[in-house]
Order: sequence, then C-alpha cells, then structure tokens
Amino acid sequence: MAAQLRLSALAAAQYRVGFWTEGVLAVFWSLVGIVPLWVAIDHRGAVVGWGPWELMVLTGCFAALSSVFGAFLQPALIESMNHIRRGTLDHVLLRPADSLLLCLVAAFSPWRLLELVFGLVLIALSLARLGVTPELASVGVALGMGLASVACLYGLGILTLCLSFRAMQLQNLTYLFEALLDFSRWPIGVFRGLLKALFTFVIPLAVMTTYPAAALIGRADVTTLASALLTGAALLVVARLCWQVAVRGYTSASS
Amino acid sequence: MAEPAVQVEGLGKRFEVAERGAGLRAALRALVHRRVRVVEAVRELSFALAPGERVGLLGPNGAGKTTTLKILAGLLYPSRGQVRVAGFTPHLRKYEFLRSISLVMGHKRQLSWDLPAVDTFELNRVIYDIDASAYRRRLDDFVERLGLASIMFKPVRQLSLGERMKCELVAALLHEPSILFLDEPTLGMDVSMQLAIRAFVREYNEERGATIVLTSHYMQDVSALCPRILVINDGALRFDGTIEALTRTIRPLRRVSVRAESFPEDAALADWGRVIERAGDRLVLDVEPERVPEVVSRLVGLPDSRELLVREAPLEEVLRELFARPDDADEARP
Amino acid sequence: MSARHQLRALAALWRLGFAEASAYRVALFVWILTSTFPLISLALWAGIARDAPVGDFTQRDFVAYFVGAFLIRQLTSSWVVWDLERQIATGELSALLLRPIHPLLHHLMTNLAALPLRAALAAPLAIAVLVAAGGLQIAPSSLELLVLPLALVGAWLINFSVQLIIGSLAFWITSSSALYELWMTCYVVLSGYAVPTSLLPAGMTTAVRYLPFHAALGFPVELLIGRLSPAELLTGFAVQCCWVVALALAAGWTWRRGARVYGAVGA
Repeated sequence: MAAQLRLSALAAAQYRVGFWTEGVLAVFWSLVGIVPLWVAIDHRGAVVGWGPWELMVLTGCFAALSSVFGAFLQPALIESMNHIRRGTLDHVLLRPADSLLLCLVAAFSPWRLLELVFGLVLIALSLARLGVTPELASVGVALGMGLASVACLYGLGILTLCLSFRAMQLQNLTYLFEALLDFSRWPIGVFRGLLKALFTFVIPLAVMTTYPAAALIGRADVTTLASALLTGAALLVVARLCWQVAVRGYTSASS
Repeated sequence: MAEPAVQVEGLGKRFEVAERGAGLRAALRALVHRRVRVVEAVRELSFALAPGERVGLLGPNGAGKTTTLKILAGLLYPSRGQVRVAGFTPHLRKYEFLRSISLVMGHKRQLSWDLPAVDTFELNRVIYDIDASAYRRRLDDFVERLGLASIMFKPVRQLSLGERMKCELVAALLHEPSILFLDEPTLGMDVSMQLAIRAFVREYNEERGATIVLTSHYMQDVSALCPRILVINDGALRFDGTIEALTRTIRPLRRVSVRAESFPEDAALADWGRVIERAGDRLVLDVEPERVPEVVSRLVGLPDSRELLVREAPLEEVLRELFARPDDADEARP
Repeated sequence: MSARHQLRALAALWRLGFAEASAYRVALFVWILTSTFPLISLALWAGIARDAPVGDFTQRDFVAYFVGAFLIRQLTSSWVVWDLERQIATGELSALLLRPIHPLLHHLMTNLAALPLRAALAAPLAIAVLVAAGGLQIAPSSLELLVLPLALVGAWLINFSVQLIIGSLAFWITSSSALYELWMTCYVVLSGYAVPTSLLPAGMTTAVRYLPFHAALGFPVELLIGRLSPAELLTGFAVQCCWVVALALAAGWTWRRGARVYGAVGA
C-alpha cells in the first residue's frame, strides 16, 4: 500500500505542471472562495453567530478537508472509475489485498497537500487572532471530529464509486460531490429545513467542517463528538456493504 | 504521364519535444526551466506517385512514415520542401483538396462513438456535398461488399475492431476520394478481417482508378496490395521500386527448401549454396539465381525427395537486412 | 463552397450534435445537477436575508437572482475546452481536420445542439425551486424580454471564445483545462455566480462590471430580473460587445497559430 502511494507520488512529482495546476490553483481557490463569506460579513458582521475569525477557522478546516479530498480521494476515485470503464479493474481485483483499499490508493496528487499546509496555517493564525489557546481536551475533541470528518468523506466517496459500477455515465458524480463539498465553507446553521437535514444526515457537511471548527473554538461538547463519530462510522459501514454488492455485480467491460 | 497524384520534393519536418530528467531534483528544476529537444521526423524526402498507383510506405517504428502521410493529408505543416497532392498544397486545406483525399488511421476514428455509424455517413454526405442518388448507390455498394447491413445501425462503441474499421473505410470513401491514405488500417485485426479489407481496398483502387498510399506493420498487407514500395528509414528514402527489385538488390539468393530421406555431407552441400537449416529430413539452402535449375535437379534426384520449394527471401528479412546496414544506403537505390 | 451548402452542412452538424446529446442524456443530467450551485447559494443567501435585506437584496430578490443565474448558466455554457484538449492530446482532431468543413464550426454546432435538451432538463428543476421558495416576483418589461436573447447570445459567445482560447493552448501545453479551472475560479466570484456583484464592496462592484466574467453571467441575470436602468443596460451591452469581439478575435488567432504546431504529440 505504502509502495503504491510512493510510486504515484513520484509519478506526480515528475509533472511540473502539477505544482501550478494542482497545488497553487487549489490554494488560490481556497482564498477566492472566501469572497462570498466576506460579502456576508461585510453586510452583517456575523453569519449565524460566527464572527469573521471564527469563519476563518472554518475556512481553514475546509481547506484541510478539501486538500485530503483532492490529494487522496478524488484522484483515486477517478483512476478507479477509469479502471471500471476500460475493464482493467480485473488487475486490481486479482491482487492479493483488499480490493477496496487498493482502489482507494490507486492514485495520489501530492501537490494538493499545499492546501493542507495553507489550511493549518490559517487555523493557527485565526485562533491566535481570536485569542483562543486550545486546551488539550478541545484539541482531542477536534482530532476526533477530524477523524469523523474524513470518515464521512471516504464513505461518500466509496458510495460514489459504487454508483459508477451501475452506469458509466454516473462518473460525473465525483464532480457533483466536489461541487457540494464547496458548501461546507459555510456553517451548517445558514441552511434551513430540508437542506439542513440533507447536509446533516445524508451528506453530512456539518460533520465534515462545521463540527471540527466548532470544536477548535471550544464550542463542541462530547455529545456532538459522539454523534459525529457515529455518523462517520455508519457511513463507512454502509459504504463497505455497498462495495461488496457492487463488486459482486461487476461485469468486466469487454472493450 | 499526366500530372503526378503526389509530388514531394526535399520534404523535411521537425518537432520540438520537451525533455525532463529523472528524479525529484530534475522535476523541480523543470518547474522554472524547460528543456527542448528537436526531433527530425523527416529529413529529406523526394518522390512522385502517378494517379492510380498502389504504393506501400515501409520502415521501422519512428522512421517517419506516419508523419509523411499526415503531411500529405494536410494535417501537419512541412518544415521545408514542396508538397503537391492532387494538384493542391495540402496544408492550405482547400475545400476541393479535402474532397479529393481521405486518410484512414487504424487507431483513430472519425465515427461518433455513441451513435450508429450511419449517422456519421449521413453527416459526411452533407459535408462533402454528395449527390443523394450517388450517395445511395455508393453506400449500398459498400454495404454489400463489406457486409455491413446490420452493423451500421448499432452504436459504434458496441462494434468489434474489425467492424469499426469497415465502417471507418465506408465513411472515408463515400465522397469517392481520388487519393486514399491508409495508416495501419489492419492494426490488431484477425487474418480474415485483414483479407476482407485488403480485397476491398484493391477493388476500390481498380474500379475508380484511385491512388492508394498504405503504411502497415503487416508485410502481407503491403506485399499483397502494393506493386511499388517506398522504404523510409531515419526520415530519408532508402528504396523506391517493386518488392522484387528490392529483394534482388538486398538478397539476390533464392531460398530453396526440400524434404528427403538423406542429404550429402555439409562440405558437398556448401558447393550448391549456403545452408540455412538442416534438421532431420528437411534442408533449406540459399542459392545463386543462375544456379537454381542445376541445384533443383540435383535435389529432385535425392532419395524420396518431396515438397521442393523455390522462393525469394521473405520481405521481413529483406527489410531487416536493409535497416541493419545503414552505410551503403545508396547501393539500394535502383 | 456555396452559402446554401454551408448552411446545410451546419444543419447536419446540428442534427449529429443533438443525437449525441440525447445519447449522453444521463451524463448531461448529472452535469446539470453539478451546476445547481446557484440553487444552493439561493438557499444560503435567502437564509442570511431572512431577518433583514443584505444590501439592496431581499430574500425574494435572492430567489429571483439565483434561479435566473442557474438558468442563464445552463443556456450559455459549452464544453469545447475539454473536447479540444482531449482531441489535441489524442489526435482525434485529425478526423475533424480532414473534413472539408472548419473544425470550429463542428464544435460550435455540437455545443449549440445540446442547448434545447439542457434547457428541457434544467427547467423542471428551476420551477421546482421557485415553487418551493414561494413563487417569483419579477415583471420584466417587454423591452427587457426583447433584448434578453441578445444578451444571452453575447454571454454564450464570451464563454465559447474563452474556452476556445484556453482549449487551443493545448496545442502547446499539456494541461490547458487546469488553466480553465483558474478562469472558472475567478468566474465564480466575479461573474455574480456565487454572490451578486452588486453586493461586493462599492469600488470593487464598479470595476468588476467591466470584466468579461460579469458580461457572461451577471449582466444577463440582472437584465432578466429587471434590476438594470436603461443607462446601465446600454453600458452593459457595450461592455459585452467589446468582450465578444476581443475574445473572438483572440480565439481565431490562437487557433490558427496552434493548428500550425499541431502534431508534435503523435497526432
């Protein structure tokens, strides 16, 4: 597994364009994406109880998550979908390791990790501005939230992959996923009614960025942590089951 | 002779290729500085083809065959030299020029992937401004010859490689081009499909007097279709003439094989010709052309002599030998 | 080639493009779902504006604005940048170059041909959102309805030309679509896609209105929902016209230069 990752990292480093097209572009997008938040702050002073620097902590969490998505999950999904389309998934299924894990490390874009660095720096800066020195306990809670967040991300990613077994044309779903992820820049409180339910329970954007950010600024309790971890675990289990069903229905493409 | 269908003089084509060293350091250095290497795909090429000829372009990988073909079809701009095809300068891509040629590539397609081939045929009918009745007539003719009746209504992605190539050929020939370029048309196909495509191309050439220029890795394609061959290596012309002429220049010896109960000693055989293979009841000799009748009569006289065969060396071997000695290139020119 | 023949060829290309779009309808629908971004922005901003207007936008205004943005985005987008990048990298472009009709006309028609299907798939979504958000309160004047198609054509041409320019860069560089992502990043915030440009800080709003991004989306949206004064309308058209001409010329130039170097990648 580690060997596979090292190989794709080396491959990616060979392409100088990756530095500009993946790394720098992603950081740029993280920055530019702040504009709508800034407009809201400009007119309102705060968004559903989140002040400017608190929103920056959230933005940092978003950048970190988006980096994990862009560096690990998205390239692996796209590569695996290509395997499915060309019928070369056979090679993956034949290898003596768990097929789902192999699919999830099928490709790696190291340059996207620049965005992670950016996110962490942003979080540190914003916390300093807020005058918050995170206690050990809240760091622990935040780490737990981060874990739940990544679990949700991967659960959804695996579900997307499973869907693409059913119809090749559903491969665009990765982009839909990416587009939706963008709304996790906003605290979940801005959404109401159906969308709030959707983004809390079905596509848990709340667990993915709002909760970790809330934990960092000391607004989360152990109950939220428990529910977040539960959501993440449940999504992973469901995704795993779907994967088993999907692989059973895999008909190796003939051409 | 009328104006040549294809006239090439002093053609050259160079590409710039970006280079990158191995390892992380080189990759980082390449972030700011890009190294470029110039590749001469075609160095110096001159030849002329008469209308109605069938000509094979031969050469090892990277010899410049495909590049030449693409320049002739107007896809690439030549770096130097003069090219005239059907009386036009190809890279200007005049409407009349494009209507009088076609290029079929074994690994590329013009057919729309998710639609039936007949939709692309219909598009070409309008784009090439083909008269409706002529279109009907040609399509029916092609469909019958290639057996496409049911195939052409299926989405292209569901077709086999051979079926797809048949449809590609039809799409390329509906406007009845007077010059047809074929780049590896039988790539990856089974033998019966190769035969069908070969026969179809030959009939098209004979019935409409079209010029055919073919590149192929399958020597059988070339030797069965093309009376004349151009051998290209390293971007330059190494030979121009018939296959027989090439064989006689490179490998003048005839290859004689026979089976018999027993053969004379090696020393005696060496007097007849060069021994290529001697195993059990089988003997293969390379013999000077003028001594063939004499050697054959002796071989026939051997005990239980059978399966006597005299032929020229196979094209593959001739070419391998031609490419293996780059220094006496001029010797091969007739 | 005669004008009549040219027209018939365009019609044939359109038919082919329409047939292709129908074959890809599922992918097209997922793609439309992907571009529901404005509809979620709608929920978000309508939420923020629930208690009091944001700038001069009430909750209702946001609904009208973002539904308009969604529809206009659907009607003015193309995908020639990805087609070109792929065709240049794999050499598929050769097949188009061999046909006696300009490859750009081919792209133009196939992109246009998908529009009716796109509109048909997107309209129900827009209507559903409007119903859920409690109806629409816009009454565009007849003049505005009359000039809206013009603004749409202009917006479409700007998007198409930019994609052509960036797509043609694939003749020289390997990942031109990444450059397009850079363009899209700016587009999202500067065109009024994520937030109406009039809500940006005052100085910025004025500057942003002269950029091609706004001309390609914000301008037709504001025209549709009747937020433009006659003077602003005229300025908008003038800016849009300038960008269409400049970008179309640049696209033609890039394409011609690129076609000369085509083939270095094993076309």
